[in-house]
Amino acid sequence: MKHLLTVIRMICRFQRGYAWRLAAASLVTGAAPLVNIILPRRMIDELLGGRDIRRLILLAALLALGNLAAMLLDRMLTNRLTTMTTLAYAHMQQIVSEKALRIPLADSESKRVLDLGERVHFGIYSLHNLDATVKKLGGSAVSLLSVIAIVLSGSPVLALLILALNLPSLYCLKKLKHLDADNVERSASEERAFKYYASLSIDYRYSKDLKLYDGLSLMMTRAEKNMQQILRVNHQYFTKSGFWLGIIGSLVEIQSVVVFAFLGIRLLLSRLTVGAFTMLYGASRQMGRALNNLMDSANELMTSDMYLKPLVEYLNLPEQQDIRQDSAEGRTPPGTDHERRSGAPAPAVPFFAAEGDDDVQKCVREAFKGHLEWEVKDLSFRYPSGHVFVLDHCSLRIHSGERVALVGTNGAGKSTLVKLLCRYYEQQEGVITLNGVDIRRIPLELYGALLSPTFQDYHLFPFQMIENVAAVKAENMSEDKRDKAIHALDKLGLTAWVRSLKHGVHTHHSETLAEDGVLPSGGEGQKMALARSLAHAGPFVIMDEPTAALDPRSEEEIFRQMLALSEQKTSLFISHRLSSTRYADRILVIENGHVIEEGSHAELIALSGLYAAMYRAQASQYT
Amino acid sequence: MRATLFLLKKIRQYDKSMIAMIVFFSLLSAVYPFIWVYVPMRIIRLSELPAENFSEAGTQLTLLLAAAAVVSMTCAWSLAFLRGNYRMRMNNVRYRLIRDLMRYSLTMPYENTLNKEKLDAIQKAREAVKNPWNGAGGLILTLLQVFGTGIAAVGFISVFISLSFWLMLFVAAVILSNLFINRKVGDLEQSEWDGLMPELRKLDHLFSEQQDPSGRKDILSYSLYGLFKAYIDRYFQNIRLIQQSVIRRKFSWQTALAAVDFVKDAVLYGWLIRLFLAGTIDAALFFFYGSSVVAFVALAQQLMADITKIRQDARHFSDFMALDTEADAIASDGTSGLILPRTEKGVLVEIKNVSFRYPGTERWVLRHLNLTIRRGEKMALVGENGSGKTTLILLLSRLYRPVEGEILFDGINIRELSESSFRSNLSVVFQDAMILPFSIRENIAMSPDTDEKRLYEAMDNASFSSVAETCTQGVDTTLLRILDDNGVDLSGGERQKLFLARALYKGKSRLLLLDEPTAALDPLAEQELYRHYHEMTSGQTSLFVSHRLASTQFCDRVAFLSEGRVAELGSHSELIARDGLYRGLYDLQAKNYREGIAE
Repeated sequence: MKHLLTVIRMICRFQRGYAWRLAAASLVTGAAPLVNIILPRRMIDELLGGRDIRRLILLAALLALGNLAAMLLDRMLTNRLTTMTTLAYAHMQQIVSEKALRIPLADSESKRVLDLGERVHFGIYSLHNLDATVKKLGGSAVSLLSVIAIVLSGSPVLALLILALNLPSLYCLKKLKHLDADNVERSASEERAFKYYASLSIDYRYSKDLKLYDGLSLMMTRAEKNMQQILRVNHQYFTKSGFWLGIIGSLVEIQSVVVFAFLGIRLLLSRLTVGAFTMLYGASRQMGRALNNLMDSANELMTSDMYLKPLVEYLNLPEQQDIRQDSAEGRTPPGTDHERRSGAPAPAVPFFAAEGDDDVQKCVREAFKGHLEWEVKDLSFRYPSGHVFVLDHCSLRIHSGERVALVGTNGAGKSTLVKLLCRYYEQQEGVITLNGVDIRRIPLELYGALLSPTFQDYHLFPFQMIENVAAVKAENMSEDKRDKAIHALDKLGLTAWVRSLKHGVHTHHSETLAEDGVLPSGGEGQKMALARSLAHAGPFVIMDEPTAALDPRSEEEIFRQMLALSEQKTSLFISHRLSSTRYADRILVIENGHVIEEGSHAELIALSGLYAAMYRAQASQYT
Repeated sequence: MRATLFLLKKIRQYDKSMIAMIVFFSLLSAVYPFIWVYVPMRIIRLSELPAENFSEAGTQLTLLLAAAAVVSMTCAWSLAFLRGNYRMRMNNVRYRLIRDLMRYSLTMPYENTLNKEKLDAIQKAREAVKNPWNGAGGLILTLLQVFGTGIAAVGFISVFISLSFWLMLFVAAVILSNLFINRKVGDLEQSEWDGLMPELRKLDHLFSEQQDPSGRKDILSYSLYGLFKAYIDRYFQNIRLIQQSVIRRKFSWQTALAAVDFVKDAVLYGWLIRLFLAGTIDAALFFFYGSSVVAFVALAQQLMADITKIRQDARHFSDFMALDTEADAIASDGTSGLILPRTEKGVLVEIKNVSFRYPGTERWVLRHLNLTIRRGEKMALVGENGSGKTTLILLLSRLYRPVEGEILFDGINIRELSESSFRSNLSVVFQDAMILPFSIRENIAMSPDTDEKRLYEAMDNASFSSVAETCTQGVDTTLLRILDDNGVDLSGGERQKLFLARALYKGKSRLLLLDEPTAALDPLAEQELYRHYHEMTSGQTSLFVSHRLASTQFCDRVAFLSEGRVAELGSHSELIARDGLYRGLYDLQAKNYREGIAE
C-alpha cells in the first residue's frame, strides 16, 4: 500500500481536512446501519411483549431520527470530499506535468517513458473514486466491529461461523488482484496506441496525405489489429474475473443460508425471540456485507496502489536538474497561502543560490555582461535509439561577440549540436564549456536565461500573443517587460497584424483557452517566435533555420532583423540559404558529425571544399 | 429514446449476445431482491406454528432454505458473471464505435476541417464514446440493470397494494418527492459539472501541452513555466468558486430529502405498529412489510437514478448518432463519377475564374484566378507568403472546393471525377506533410503492402536511400518513438526527401504538385533535385511551389501569384525582361549570391 499512502499524503498536503473528513465519513457510514438493526428488534420484542404504545412511538422516532442524522452527516461530508477529490485529481495531473518538464528530453521521447506516462494516467484516473473506496473500507471496518459485537452477544458460534464462511472469498480476491495486475500490464501499451490512432484521425494535418495516398487502409489496418489485441486481452480478463466475482457473490448467499439455518432452528426451538431473530439475521447479513466490503475495498485499494505505482515511479524518474525554484514550489500546488506568491513575476535577472561554485558564478556573471567564450571539445552523441553517432568527436569554438554560421548537408549533425548546446540532450562523450566552465554545472534556469534560441519547429502556446512573447502573464507583466515585448513585435513587423486582431496584443493564440483566439499563419508564427527570442534578450542568440518557410521578402526582412538582433551579441545560426552566411564572421562546415572546414566566406570559397561546392550550387541558380 | 434505439441497433450489429444477456440479467435481478425478504418472513411464520408441529416445521425450514440456496446462488453467481462479461462487451462495442468515428474523420471531405461546427460535432461525438462511464458506455451499462430493477419495483408495488391502498399512496408520494428532489440535486450537479467541464478541459490542455515533448524546448528555453502556472492557478480558482456556489444549495435539497425520509420512517413504522396492535398483521408480516419498504425505496431510488442516467447518456450519445448516420452516406460514395482517360502524357489543367475565401472570413484568398497548365508542362508557382499558393494546391487536390469558378482536368470538372480516378492521377507533396509512427516502408507506400522495386526506385530518385541505409533495420525501421522504442526521428530535410519519395512511389500519377519541397534541403540536395527534375517528372504535368526563385529556371513557365490572382506569367527570362514584381523578388534573393561570388 505504500504507493497509495504516498499519494494520499500528497493529496492531504494540499487538501487540508481531507484525512479527517474521510475518517468521519467512514465512521458515519459504518454506524448508520446499526440503527436499522437494533431498533426494529426492540420494536418487535415490544410488540410481542409489553405492547407499550409510548415506548413503541419512542422507538419509531429514534429510528427515524437516527436515519435522518446519519444521512445529513454523510451528505455533508461526502459533498466536501467529492469536491476535494475533483481538485485532487487535477492537482495530481499538475504535479505530473511539472515533473514531465524536469525529465530529460531524450527520456521523455522514449516509448518507455511514454508508456509509463500512459499508465500514470490510469493511476490518476483511479483517484476519481478514491474517497468512495476509502470510505467504504473505513465504513465496513467500523460496521464490522460493531456488528461482530452484536452477533457475539447473541451467539459466539454464529460469529465464528460467519468468519469461517468468508475465508474462501479471500482466496478469490487474491485471484482477482492477480488478474487486474496482469490486465494492466498487458493492455497499457495497446490502449495508448489505440488512443493515439484515434487522436491521429482528428489531427487533420495528417489527413491530406492519408486521403491522397489512400492511407486509410494502412491506418485502419493498424488500428484494427491493435483493437483486436485489446479485445482479446479484455475478453480473457473479464471472463476470468467475472467467474471469480460470481463465486464471491455465491459465497455470500451460502453464508445467508447457513445463518438462516442456524437462527431458524433456534427460533423454532424457541431459544430466540422473533425480535432477536430479526436482529441477529440483520446483523449477520450486515456482518457478511461488511466483511465483503472490507475485502472488496481493500482489494480495490490494492488495485489503486498498483495503478499508482507507475505514478510514483514516474515522479521518481531521474531529472535533468533542479530546473527552477518555482517548480519546486509548484510541487505543493495552489493551496492557500502561496497562491499570491506564485503569480508574482520571477526576477528578471536570476541570482545565485549560495551553493553555486565560485567559478560557475564568475562564468555566468561574465556571460550576462556579454562575454561568452564557447568551446566544444570532442563531443560525441547518438540518439537513444540510434546506432550512428550523429556527432562524432566534434570540436569547435565560438568566440565572444562573434557571429558564427553553421553549414552542412542534411543529417550532418547541425541541429543536434544546437540541441546539445541548449542542453535538451546530454552528450555521451566530450564537453561543452562556457567561459571555461562545463555547461552542465550551470543551473538550468540561469543557463536558459543566457540563451535566445529560435527553431524552425517552434511552439507557441494558447496564451495571449503578448504573453507568448514576454513569457509572463499579462496581469503580472511589468511595464518594462511589456515595452520590451511590444518593441519586439514591432521590430519584427507584427504590429499591424496584431492590431488588426480583435483584442490586439491580448488576443489568445489558438482557440484552446479562448473562443476568439487566433491561429497565426506560418510566417506570422515564425515571426512571433523570433519576437519571443528578441524579448527574451539572452546574450547568446541561436537560430536554426528560422526563415525556411518564408518568402524572399520576409526572409530578407527577418534576415536583417537577425543581424540587428545579434548585433554586439555572440550568435550562432544555421541556414541552408548560403546567401546569408556571407554576413557571418566565421563559418563552420559540419559533415559526418564534426567540423571539416572553417573560416570566413572568402576563405572557404578559396578553399574550394564542401562549402564552396554548396555555395556555387546555390548561387549558380541565380546567375 | 432514438439514441437508445440506435445504440441497441449498434449492439445488435457488433455483439448480439449482449441482448440475450440483458434479458437474462433482468429476469434474475427482478427475482433477487425478494429472496431475503420472503425467506425470513416464512421462517417467522414457521415459528408461530404450535410446538407439536416441530418436525414438520423443521422439514419446511430445510426445504425453504434449500430452495433459497439454489435460487440465490444461481442469481448471485450469474449476476456477477454477467455484469463483468457484459462490461467487457460494452467496451468492445465502444472501441468499435471509436474505430467507426476514426474512419469517419479520416474519410470526410477535407474541407470540413474548415467548418468549426463540424469539428465541434466530431469532438462531441468523441466525448460520447471516449470513456466507459458516460455517453455510449454509461448507456450500455445502465441498460443492463434498468429493466430488472423496474420489474422488481413493480413486484413490490403489488405487494403494497395487497396490504393497503393508502399505504401504497403514501409510498408513492414519498417516491415522487424523492424523485423531485433528486432531480433538483441532479440538476445542480449537472450545472456544476457544466461549469467545471470547460475549466477542467482547459487544465487538461495545459497539462498535456506541458507533457508534450515537442513543445518542451520552447518551455525550457523561455521559462514559460511561470506563465503556465499563472493560468493553471486561475483555472483552479474558478473551479473552487463553482464548487462553492453549488455545494450549499445542494445541501439544502439534501436536507429536504432527509426530512422526507424521516417522515417516511415515522409514518411507516407508526402505521405498521397500529396494524399490528389492531391484529391485522402478525410479526412475520410486520417484518416483511417493514423490510419491503426499505428494499423498495432503495430499488425505486436506483430506478430513478438509472432513468436519469439513461436520459443523460442518451442525450450525450445522440452527438455520436448525429455524425454516424452521415458516415454511411460518405461510405457509399466511393467510386461513382467520371473516370479520366489514361494517357502517357500529363494532365491538362485549366483553372477558370476561380475564387476562394475561407468560411467565415471576408478576404478573398484567390479572386477570379485563371491559369492553364499545358499537358506535360513544368510550371513554377511563386509569390509572397499569403498570396494564395498553398490554397491553390489544396483546390487542385480537390481538398477545398472553389467558392466560384471551376477547375478542369483534361476538360472535365474535377468535381465530377470519381474519387479513385482522381486520386490515381494525382501526387502531391504538401508543405506541412507529417510522418506516421510506422515503418519507413509504410510511410512511403502509405499502404500495408509495398512493391519493392518501386519503393527503392522512389527512394533513389528522392535521394532518400542514403537516409534509410543509416537506419538499423533499413526500410523496416519504425519512424518516431511514439509506438516503438527503437523508432527513429528524421530531420526536416530527411522528411522532405521521404515525402518526395512518397509522391514518386505513387508512380502512375499524371499530375504532380509540389509545395515547397526544398525548403529544408541542403544546397547540394536541392541542386540534385533540380537536376533530375525533368526525368523524374517525365510524362507528368507538374506544379512547383517555391520561395527559392532559382527553382523557376528549370520550369517551362512561371506563374507569379499576387493578391489572389496571376499577376505575371511567362518563362523565367521573359519575366526577368519584363522587369515587374517577379524581377523585384528575384533580384532581392539573387543579390546576396552575386555579391558573394564577386568577393
